[in-house]
Amino acid sequence: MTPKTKVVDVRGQKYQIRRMRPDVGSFILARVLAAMSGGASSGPMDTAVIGQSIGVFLRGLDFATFSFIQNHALSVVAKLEDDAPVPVVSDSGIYVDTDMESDLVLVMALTVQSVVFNLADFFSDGGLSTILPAQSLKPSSM
Amino acid sequence: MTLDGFLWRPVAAGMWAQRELFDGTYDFADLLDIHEYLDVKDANAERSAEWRRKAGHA
Repeated sequence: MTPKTKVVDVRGQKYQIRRMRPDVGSFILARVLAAMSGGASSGPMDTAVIGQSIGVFLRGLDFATFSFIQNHALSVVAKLEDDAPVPVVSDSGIYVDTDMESDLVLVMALTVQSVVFNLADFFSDGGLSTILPAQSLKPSSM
Repeated sequence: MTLDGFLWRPVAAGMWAQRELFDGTYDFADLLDIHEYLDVKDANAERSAEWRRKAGHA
């Protein structure tokens, strides 16, 4: 089974990342694949390569799409305070952690980590082959 | 398959309800898992059909 959460460390502070909704994840995945424009391998990809590709993808986005992705990416991130997860943004998209308002590096780090965590399994499992008709999978791969 | 089909595949396969794509029942990891399951199921069905054809049961 694909793991549901991941704990990341940003400058000594731990954050828990959860999974996005299926429709949001699929929407972002479609944009990432379009940005790769044939440059993606249909086989399993290395995590570092996935991270780089997603970083390039985010830099090339228009403001509206970037805002949409950033809001959804941060909505599944929680700051771990005494191991208790506290959301970093409210349901209306306001930063709960006021330090984040002026900390662009932290916001971007969490945005990228969230997108990478949610999409990495698709690429590392060779998921691109599942949307290419010429490919097939072995039953023993499950 | 288009990527819209990627999202809707479990609904088309009769495994998820349409509303479950949006209501929080499932997350993106569940979508990846159900794709893996459906890939294996489709591959097995294809092999079974191939065996039936070769064995003259088609």
